[in-house]
Order: sequence, then C-alpha cells, then structure tokens
Amino acid sequence: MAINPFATLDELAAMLRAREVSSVELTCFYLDRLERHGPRLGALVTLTGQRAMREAEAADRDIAAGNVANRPLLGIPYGVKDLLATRGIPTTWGAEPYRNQVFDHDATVVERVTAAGGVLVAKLAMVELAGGFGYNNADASFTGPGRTPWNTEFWSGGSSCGPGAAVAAGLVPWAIGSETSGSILTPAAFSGVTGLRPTYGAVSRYGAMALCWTLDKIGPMARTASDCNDILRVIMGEDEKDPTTRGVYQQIPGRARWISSAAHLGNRRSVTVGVVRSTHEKVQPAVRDNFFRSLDALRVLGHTVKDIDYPDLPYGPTVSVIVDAEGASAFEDLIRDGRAKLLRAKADQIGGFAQAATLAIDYLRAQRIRARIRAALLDVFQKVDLIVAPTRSTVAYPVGPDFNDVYKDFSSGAPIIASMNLLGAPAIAMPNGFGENGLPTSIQFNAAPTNENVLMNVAINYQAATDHHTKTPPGFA
Amino acid sequence: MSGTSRRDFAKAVAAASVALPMVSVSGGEEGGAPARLAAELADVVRAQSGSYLTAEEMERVRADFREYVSLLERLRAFKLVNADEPDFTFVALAKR
Repeated sequence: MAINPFATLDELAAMLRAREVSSVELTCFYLDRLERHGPRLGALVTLTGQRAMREAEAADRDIAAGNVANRPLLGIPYGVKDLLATRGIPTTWGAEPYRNQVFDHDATVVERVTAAGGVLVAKLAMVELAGGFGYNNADASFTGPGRTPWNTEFWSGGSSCGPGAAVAAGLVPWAIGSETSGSILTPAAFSGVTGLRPTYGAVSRYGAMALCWTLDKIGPMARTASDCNDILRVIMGEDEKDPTTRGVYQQIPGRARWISSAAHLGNRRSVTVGVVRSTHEKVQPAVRDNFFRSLDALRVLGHTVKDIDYPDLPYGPTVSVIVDAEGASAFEDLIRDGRAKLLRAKADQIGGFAQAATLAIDYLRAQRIRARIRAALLDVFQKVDLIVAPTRSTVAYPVGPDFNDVYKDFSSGAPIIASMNLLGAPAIAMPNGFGENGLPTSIQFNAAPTNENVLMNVAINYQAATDHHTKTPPGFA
Repeated sequence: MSGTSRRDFAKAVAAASVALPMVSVSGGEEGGAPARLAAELADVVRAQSGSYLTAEEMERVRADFREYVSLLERLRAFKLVNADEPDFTFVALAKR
C-alpha cells in the first residue's frame, strides 16, 4: 500500500481503520523519512523509535479491537518541538547546555496525545531557548539552522523551526509547537503549513520549557485547519499542574460538544473580518497580492471584510520588556554561571546577560500597560469577529545573513502578532500562495480569546474553498 | 519568538510612523539622558556578568543598550495612573 506522506489526519485515520495500513507500517514509514530528510532540513533532534513502535503496536491492537470511536489521532505518528518533556528521552530545548537533559515524565500535552493513541516518532528542532535571548540569525540551534523544504537556502522560521520543516516536508503528519510571540505562526508561514496558536491557557504547558510564563502557549502545526481542529480537541483542557489553564477551558463556547471539522464544513458561519491597512502597505508585492486574493475568497464565502483602525499602543516595547525579564528569570542559572556563552547564536551568547539588567519597575510597567492593551484590543473584537493580516511581511529569510540585513524595504505595519500574543488571543496561520524564490506566503486569522470555534469555522471553510494548503514541496514526494 | 529578533522587532515598531502619546525621545546622543541610561545598564551587566564577557562583547552590549533605550523610553512615556494594575492577579487560595 503506497502511503502519501502528505496525507491529512482524516485520510490516515481512514486508511488505518480500513486496515489498508497498520500503525506500525505508518510509523516505520515516517521514521524512515525523518532519518532520510530530517538532518538536511535541520529539523530533527532525536528519533524516538522504540517508544514509537510500542505506541504503534498498542494502537494496532486498539484498531483491531474496534476501540476507535472519537479518537482522531489513534495510530498516527507525530513529532514534538524539543521543549516538551518526554520520559527517558533527551529534551534539549535546542541549546547546547541542555543537550543531555532527560526528564522522568511526559509533558501534559504529550500525555494527552498518548492517551488519544498518538505515536511519538521524533523530538523536533527548535531555536535555542525558543529564541528568548534575542537571536538574530537562522543559525541559532545546536542542530543548525532549520531549512524550509520549499527552498533549503532559506529558513523554516522560528522558534518552532523543526515542526515547521518536518510537517512541510511530510516527515510527520503533524507536530506540536509553541509560541511566545510568533513561534508557531512564523514557522507555519515560512514552511507553508497550517499553525494554530490557541488561547493562552487553553492548552497545558506543564512539562514545557518555560520562557515567559505570561505569554507561552502550546499549539499544533499540521497540513490543514481541519487537522489542527481535531488535534486541539485532544490537547486542550484544564490541568491542575498548570494554573494558567484554570477557568480558561470553561470559557470556550462549545467545549462540551466540540464541533468536529466535518460539522464546521456543513455549518458555515458568516462573520465580520477586520483588516488593518498598515499590515499590507509595506509588505512584499507577492505577499500583498496573495493577501488580497485571500480577502476575495473570504468575501465569496459570505464574510464581510472591512478596514479597521488599530489602537496605537506600545506593543513592541511591552512584549520585549516582558520577555526580557521573564526569560532572564527563567534562565537565571544559565546567566549566573555563564553557560549562556555556550549558546550557538552570537546574539544569544550576550542577550541573557543584558536581559538580566531589566529593571523590575520596567517589567511591572509593561504588565500594567498590557492591561490597557488588553482592554483596547477586546474593544476591537466588539466590532469584528476576526482580524486578518499577512502572517509575515516577507517570505522566509535566507540562511546566512542576520535578519536585519535583509528585506530592509519591507515592514509589517501594526504588530498583529505581538499585540495578539499580549492579548492571549488564538490565531491560525495558513499558506495562501507563493512569493520570491518559490517560497510560501501566509495569512493569519486572529479571534478574541476563547473564540476558537469561530476561528476554526472560518479557517476550515476557507481552506475548503482554496487549495494553497494542498501544495507540497518538490523533492520530498 | 518572532522571526526577527525581539529587540529588532520592537525597535522597528518604535521607529514606525505611529503617533503615540509620547514625550520626545532624544535618542542615544552622547551625554544625553538616554546615553547615560544605556551606559548605566551596561555597567549593571559588567557588574553582574562582566567576568564572562570579552571587551568586544561588552561593546556589543553597550551598542545594544544604546538602541534599547529608545524602546524603553517609549514604554516609560506611556501615561499610567495609580489605579493601573499589572495584568496578572495574585489570588489567595486555601490550598495549592
């Protein structure tokens, strides 16, 4: 039976349940692809073959016994960004000082996927310390730069560079990434995959490397919004080990009867979509053209698209000072004993020392301003259901030069990613065409916190009406 | 984090032509308050971690701070009042 490495979760689940392929066969297939392509994409840290085979055999037994109801991930391989703890397997945080770190427990999100029958095949590469020390170059992991399979001279995005590249190249059907301020959306954009950043607190972070306690989120990266929706159903929920999940899940409308992707397709909503003019004025031409085509597709689907004003607030300085202070605290030991010098990127080798000089009064000021930001952005969501924008103002950065030495003529305008992360809002990034050097472009949809149902409904139906997400990179069939 | 470094990103935002409720920023001019702040922050780094940093690295830290202070000034220029609480809340719970 030929296996399509780019199959969706639905397609893989159908094959497994029809016994056209076993979970063990599927697992061997993806392990082989990871081994063959993972290193040259800088996507792989550790293959988890032994664990994977145990989980695949268990899944095959469940499938044979007919224990498959409501288990969309059963028997399907996946990878995780290497900041999630996995029992007995190295968890490196992408950083030389932690190369040999091993935990005795699984992160809650891994436990949930395991309980749902998922098969962990790999720990995937990431920017060291999730980029918390201010990296400014793609070469910022001990595994080397992540490379997008669309053109391997270019970066796969950070900090979830491994999940982005691995999903895009069909090395895993899906993966778990994390975002503090852009670390799911950016690699989704640069790698040409779909990435979902859930509401802050919707998914437990227990067992995940902490960079910034008030901003870190865990979310899926996959081929489609439909896949992300099915994964979210499994991974979200309260966890007594992560106090930030307290009460969030209860606020999510429809949580008790989470709407399946199929139901979303059969029940299309019409919503009001807000566009901030500055977000498309200074972007690369192909980014703008593809964005306008995406807006047309949304109009055809019956959505109202309108220009909106965006509150004029210091988003950049606020997120910067918060991450500086919390990141320096989270890695205080690494800074105090000088091991930060072992990091790969030059900027990271000094960034932590500088961040440790952040004044408490500035951090608290940032958190006080953040409350104002939150109120102002919630007011925006009184007028629109979604805010959409190009995910990035350019296609992927080239591997080699520092980021600030390229694409100097382009900018993203209103900082949607930073501001929506300060709000704790959910977002999804989806491919919407191609630009320079054969590289993908992307659109992001953002919703008010806990409004995942509307976000996913619009995203799933958008992809049903377009085909950008079905494209696959040449050379990885 | 975002694709560009966080500080670069924040600086880019700070440089964008948005009209903010700001006081004027004099930049990192020699001898001005921002330059002094940058130098003093670098002194903190030297006091805390100087033994780990080469002279060249300390110079990079100073250069980064010279740009960082404009970002900091934007943050500090934002008007807050006493009633503005930080966006996190301590809750007294009876159990863990």
